[in-house]
Amino acid sequence: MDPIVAPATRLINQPVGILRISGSDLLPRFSPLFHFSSSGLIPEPRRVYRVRVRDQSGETVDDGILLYFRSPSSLTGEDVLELQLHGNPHCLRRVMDHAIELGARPARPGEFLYRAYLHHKISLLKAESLNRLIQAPSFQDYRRQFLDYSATTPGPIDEIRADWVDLMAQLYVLLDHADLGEAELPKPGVLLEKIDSLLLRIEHYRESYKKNRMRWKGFSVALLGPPNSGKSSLFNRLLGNDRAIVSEIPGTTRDMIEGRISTEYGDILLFDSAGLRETTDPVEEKGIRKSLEAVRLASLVFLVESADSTMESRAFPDGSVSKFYRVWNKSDLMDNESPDFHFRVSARTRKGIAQLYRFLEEQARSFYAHSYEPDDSTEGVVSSERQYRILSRLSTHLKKVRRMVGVSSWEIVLHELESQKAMMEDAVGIVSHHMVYDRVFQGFCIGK
Amino acid sequence: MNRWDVVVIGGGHAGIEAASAASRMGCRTLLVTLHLDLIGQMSCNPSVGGIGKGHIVSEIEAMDGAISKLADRSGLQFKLLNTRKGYAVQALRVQCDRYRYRQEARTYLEAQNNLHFRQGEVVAWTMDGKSLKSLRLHDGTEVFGRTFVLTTGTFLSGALHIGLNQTEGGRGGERSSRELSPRFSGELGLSLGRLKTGTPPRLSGRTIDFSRMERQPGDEPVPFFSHDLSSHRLFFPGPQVPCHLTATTAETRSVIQSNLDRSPLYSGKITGIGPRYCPSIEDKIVKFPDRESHHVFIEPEGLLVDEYYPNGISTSLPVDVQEQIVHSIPGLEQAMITRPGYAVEYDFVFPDQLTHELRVRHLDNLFLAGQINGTTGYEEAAGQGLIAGLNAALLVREEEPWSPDRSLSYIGVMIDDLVTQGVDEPYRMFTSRAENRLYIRHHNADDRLTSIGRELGAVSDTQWEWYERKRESFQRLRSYLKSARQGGTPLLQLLKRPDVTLDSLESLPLPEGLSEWPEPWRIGFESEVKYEGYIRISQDRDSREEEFTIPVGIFESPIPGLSKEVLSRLKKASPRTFSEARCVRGVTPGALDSLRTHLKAGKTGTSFL
Ligand SMILES: Nc1nc2c(ncn2[C@@H]2O[C@H](COP(=O)(O)OP(=O)(O)OP(=O)(O)O)[C@@H](O)[C@H]2O)c(=O)[nH]1
Ligand SMILES: [Mg+2]
Repeated sequence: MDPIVAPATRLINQPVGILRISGSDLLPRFSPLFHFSSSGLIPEPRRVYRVRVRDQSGETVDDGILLYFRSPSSLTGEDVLELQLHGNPHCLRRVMDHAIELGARPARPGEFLYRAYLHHKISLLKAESLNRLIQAPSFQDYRRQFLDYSATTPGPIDEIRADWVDLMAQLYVLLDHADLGEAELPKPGVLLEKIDSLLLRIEHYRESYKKNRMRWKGFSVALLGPPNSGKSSLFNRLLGNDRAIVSEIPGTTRDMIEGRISTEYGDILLFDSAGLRETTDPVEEKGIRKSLEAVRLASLVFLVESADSTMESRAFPDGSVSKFYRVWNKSDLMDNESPDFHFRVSARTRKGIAQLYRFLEEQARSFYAHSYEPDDSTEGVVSSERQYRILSRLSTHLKKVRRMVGVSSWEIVLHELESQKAMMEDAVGIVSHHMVYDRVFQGFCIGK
Repeated sequence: MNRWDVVVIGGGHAGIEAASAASRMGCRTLLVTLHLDLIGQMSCNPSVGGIGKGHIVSEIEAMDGAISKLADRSGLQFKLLNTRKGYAVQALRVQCDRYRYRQEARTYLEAQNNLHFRQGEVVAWTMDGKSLKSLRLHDGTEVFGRTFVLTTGTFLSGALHIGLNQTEGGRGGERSSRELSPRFSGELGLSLGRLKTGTPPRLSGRTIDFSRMERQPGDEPVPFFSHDLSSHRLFFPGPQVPCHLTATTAETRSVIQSNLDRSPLYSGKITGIGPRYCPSIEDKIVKFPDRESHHVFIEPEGLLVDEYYPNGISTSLPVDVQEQIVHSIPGLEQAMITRPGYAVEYDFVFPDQLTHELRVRHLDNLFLAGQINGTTGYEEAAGQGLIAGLNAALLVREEEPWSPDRSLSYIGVMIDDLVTQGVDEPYRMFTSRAENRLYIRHHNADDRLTSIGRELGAVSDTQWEWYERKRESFQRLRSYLKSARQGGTPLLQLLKRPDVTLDSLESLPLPEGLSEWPEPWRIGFESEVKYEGYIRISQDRDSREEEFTIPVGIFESPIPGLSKEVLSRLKKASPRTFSEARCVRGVTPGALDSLRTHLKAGKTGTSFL
């Protein structure tokens, strides 16, 4: 495939920055990128080279390490070149530009993994599992995801697939092997049982996903409050960057913004939200609904108010009041001694921020130590909205097939079942005629 | 001079069909065979059709081929199978008279213009670049041809096994050749594999006690394959000859279990891969040790011979064990074996070296058809023979090749499976292999194929007239049912309901002539009306996919689920949409499925991380 290039590390100032190129026949096309003194122009695969790296003009701009993996023994299954350089974004960009001039194009997000999938290096399910692993908010969760990722035994999805194959096998036998004799042919009752058990399985995973979806994974904190109280300012302050837009106009934030603070105990997921007020703007309205939803999902909620914007009513959705912590912001303008407030801070002057931060850290520690249960093994199986939707459609479809059993002829039942094959395969992987026949021969003594 | 348009080698079911098709299309054709008296030999059980296989036969009939007519003309018992599973999986099976079949085959071929015969064994050939130029027969004769169709079945390095004895040879006492295989791989550059199959012992009828078995009569009225209604009659005064059903016993099981060490299968002497759907009785006992019994069908071999084929106990155990097995079965306690069962191993050509026209891809004028391509069954062989013969003729006429699409016919499914997926066990047709199952039915094979066959020049006037006659009758009935109503509903609409049949409409005034309609027409019409909805649904579903556009360069690299073959075709054609991809030869619905999954994954793929 056409060569792609991307930094494997973020483009920030740090000791090491890594660039990767993947594609077919990378060498000698990309040899001008580097120069090494040991023999030959072409590096051997899977060896470590100390190289000098050049930009478009041929000038040496850095020195570092070169790794070369030859197709198919690589991450993507294609040729892969990996340059480990100094982590200066300007230099890295310049080397990337050189690679682009030599014919590479900037990779789209996820494209390396996608190529690995194309070349059978990783399955779609594994890729999704890998994504969960990377996103895991704590070590406990990470470990569970890693077990899932590295598992070789059949998982729940494989079980669904096996059930499905089994169902197809029954119908194959009914249609093609009438010579088995009435007594040995699968009965409608058996088919219904199989469909039911499959439905039950699917239902189970859907439920667990729904339950799971209801909470955010890891320790999560939502910033709620009236417009203009400084939620976004506080959010930025806690994250230490300027993720959220801050302005003096009330109603600036329209949607949830997520940030992540990594601590040694586990991640703190911080959510900035749209200020709560009556509104006719549909977009803002939607954002506010999300904010209220956040009360239910978050591990704890900071209710942010300030002198110029206080909450008119305490009419919050129920939910455990114990989750609520009231924060008085803009204390530099006007302080509030009321004991109703747990914290008094100023996002502007940073007063009280450190204290707030320590509190969060402490909460995170106890969250991950006590109240946090990583998913048990059946949960998280359906781990993406995509899979969830497929399973929902599948279950609707199966219910339809179920109603047809005993009413429509067998060939129509099979036709209906097969009509959603593509969707099924999206969820569980390809099901071939061979697989079904393997199942047929396991279960039935076929043939005269 | 010995110069021919089409030279067909082999007089089995593929050879007959190929020779007949080529000569129907006006080519000077020579059929070279080892033994002229053995043309049309049924080396396994004497039956034609069955589920999946019968569908192929109906398609051959739709193109005016031979096997359907030969089966009709030699049939002892006719049965429509699967009638309660739906219209699409119904299939006809004919129990034939083995000897009559051979005779009819010879008579049929001799009636073809342009077709000549030569007995002889091919021992060598000459090449001219990528073309086969001539064959040399064992007697030194040189046969020149413009195209060649090779249908030599299990002839290549055949080995027979009975017990631990192994002899060289083809099936049923036929010859085989050990010298040819290396020349196939050497001179012709074909890669070969090894398969096996088997037969049961044959039994003497007068020693069988039929009163202890279940009698299985044929259908009345007799269903025939032939579209020419005037040919519909038994070759003997009748009635049809029944088959009988019995079953193995616990004793059968223990006989086999205690003699497994004498089986060439279980002692490792046989290495070829056998078909799982046609297992030997020892296989069945070993794989399903808990089963009390297995069916055994006692099928007549011929009207004038007293020999029976016990279908279900194919075996390669030694003869004394075969006797014990036979005697352990109710009704066969006294039965005498007339010929022992055996397993045969043979070389086959991996069919993924062929084009969809069954031409060897790297050669210009050599076609392969039948068991040599790794299939089993007369029907599968005949279907390939037809396509190979047609295309040999088209090549001679310098016309575009033709091969049926997989969505159009079972023959298309078979050939597509063979050439794109290859073979790892003997290939046999099943209805489950056909994605477009509801459309490709026994009873509409003519609608799918007869006009194509006519255009190619393979369909005779008689056959064509019958087809037109049927279409006209259908059209008349259809327009009548459209206008006639019951309670405001057009009858045609009524007939679409699952519980309504033509018979149940009978109480209404229906147009004249309908009562004379043959059964196949009635079923054909009914299913046509009832299944219109389904065919439309699946076409709709497909049309939504047409919108998928295919990114440039996507075929440059492997796609999960697509064979190299399909990928290289796609790469060459570089379709931009799904509908274009569908039209690329060799792109199966299965392949489209994989492509669809792949394209969808591509979308999510960008959000992997
Ligand atoms: N003096 C002072 N001003 C602040 C402080 N925090 C925020 N502001 C100002 O208050 C205004 C609103 O701040 P935002 O952070 O956008 O407020 P918000 O709660 O996110 O507002 P919405 O998104 O509209 O709901 C801006 O002009 C900020 O500069 C603070 O601690 N002291
Ligand atoms: Mg804001």
